[in-house]
Amino acid sequence: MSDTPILEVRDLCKRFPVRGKGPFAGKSWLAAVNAVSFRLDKGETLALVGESGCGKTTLARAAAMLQPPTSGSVRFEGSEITGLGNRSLKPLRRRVQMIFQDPYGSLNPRLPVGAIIAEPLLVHGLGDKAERRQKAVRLAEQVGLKAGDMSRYPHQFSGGQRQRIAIARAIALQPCLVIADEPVSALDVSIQSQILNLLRDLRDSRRLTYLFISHDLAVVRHFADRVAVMYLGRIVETAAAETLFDAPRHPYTRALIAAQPVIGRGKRTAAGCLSGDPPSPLDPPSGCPFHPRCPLAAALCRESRPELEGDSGHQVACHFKNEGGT
Amino acid sequence: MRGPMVDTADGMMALALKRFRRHRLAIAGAVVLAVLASLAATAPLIATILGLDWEAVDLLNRFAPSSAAHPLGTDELGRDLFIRLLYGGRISLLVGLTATVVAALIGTAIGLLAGFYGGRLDALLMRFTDSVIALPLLPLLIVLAAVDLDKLGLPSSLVQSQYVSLYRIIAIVALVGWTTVARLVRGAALTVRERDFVLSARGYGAGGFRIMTVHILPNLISPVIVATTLSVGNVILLESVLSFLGLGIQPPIPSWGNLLTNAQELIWTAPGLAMWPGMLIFITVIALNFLGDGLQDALDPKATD
Repeated sequence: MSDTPILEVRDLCKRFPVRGKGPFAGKSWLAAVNAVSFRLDKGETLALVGESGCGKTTLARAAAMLQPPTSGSVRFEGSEITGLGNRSLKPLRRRVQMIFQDPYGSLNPRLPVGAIIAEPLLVHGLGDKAERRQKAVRLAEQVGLKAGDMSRYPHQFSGGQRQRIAIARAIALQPCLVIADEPVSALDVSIQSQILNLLRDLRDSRRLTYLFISHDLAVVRHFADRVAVMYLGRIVETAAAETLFDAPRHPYTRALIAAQPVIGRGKRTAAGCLSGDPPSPLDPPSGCPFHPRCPLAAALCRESRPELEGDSGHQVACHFKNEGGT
Repeated sequence: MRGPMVDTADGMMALALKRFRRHRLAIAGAVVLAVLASLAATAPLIATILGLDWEAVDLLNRFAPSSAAHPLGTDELGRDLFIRLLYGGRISLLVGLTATVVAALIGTAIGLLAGFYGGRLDALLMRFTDSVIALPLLPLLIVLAAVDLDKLGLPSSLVQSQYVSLYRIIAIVALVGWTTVARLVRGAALTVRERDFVLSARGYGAGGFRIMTVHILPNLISPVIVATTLSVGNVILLESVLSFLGLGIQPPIPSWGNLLTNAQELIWTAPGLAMWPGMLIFITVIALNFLGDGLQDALDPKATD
């Protein structure tokens, strides 16, 4: 662990201004990401999991400097990247790429596939036109598209093929870090595994590091080395994937794991299921943000918020992390 | 899972063309406009063939009825009405097209900058747009039409040119006509810039200019084309109004608008002089509107099949 991590995020916060109702209501702030810290080592795959609206996507975009964070520090290969202007970020843009959830929205409908894949090369002035075209064809073939697809438009492809196009575009610049924001959740289950296999092959052949965002624990379990569970803008538990799934210590993680659909095991027990909706990030609960839904909640939880603690292998933010078995 | 999609390289255009073909009125409009435009474009050729001249005065032959020599008769100076209508069409269509294209370019640039950059630039540009909209059009046009170009320091070759009223009216219309397109483009740019492919372009380091021209503009061009088509008709009408007020294209150069002006005192003597240019303006504007409607349906990205 003495190496510099590829990405190191410390106390990252991202708040959005929200206008109140009525003409005289003041502005309030929505804290989408709240004091999040994590590190990502070379070659590692870190999965961010959590419910919809817990801040996963915002965290990823803030870490990639697509939405500048409100406060906190993001270090890429040891150097601070927060507060940099677009021009100074350009070298970073070459090494960090994103894959988006919705392959229907992430491809410009007015550009043919060849141009889409070659665009990052064009933006960074790599190669001449013929070289870029050749490279785009190679990339397309690498992700399982045909050379003949290059002159077609995104709307002529299925969701899975579009995600392949997006992946080809993401690896065109030979990045070292790929931030994949729910790359398979918009796809059919049968297509999901193909795309995941493709991502895994690319990870092995190109030694990629992934920040992988998902709400699908089954996917995460098979894909990630390490998992960070987010709840209401904070990381509540982080551990190696096996540890987290075998011995979850935060009640929220346990509930998430228990909520997974399982084939052939009769009815799920109601005990593990969460009741209620996640609280509004506009008006977070006092103390531990999870206490209104937590089966272990006690008076302490309503008053003070537990910090993320533990050794570097397994960290939990819960007052009762050492108690309450499964 | 390849849905009902067209399997050609230019699927998008093919689809649009297919939708457009179903719009009969729009096809009719396009045909009418094509005929009018080609007649106007070939006016000198037609004049030579018929042996007529748009400037030839024949005082012995005033208000002649239509005949083989003068298909639509002659005006109060004995000039051939048919040829003057064709030449007038050249001017009117030219003014309509050039002024709207220039206005659309200005409007697109302003709207794109405002919508893409947002914030203060947006506020500034949009308040500027609002103030241009708030100016009462006709008095402004009258003032602008009265500006002495000599005093603006323009080259005298331009000021002395007989076509100066033509350039002047194109400039005036373009300067006040860009607001609709600017608002339209700004609104569309605000939507498009939030789409993932724009974020993704930012993610691989594309600059503002590239994002605006490659990613945003092509995705909002259809409403601009439609709005521009529809406003060509308005500009032709505006030119008629200005010429009718004596502030537009100056005789002897004919335009449909000033042909109409000329005819106003002669309406009882020679109704044809007013009827024909009026009819042509009417037909052109209607055809443009049908064409615009058809384009709107054809280019609507939400329309299926």
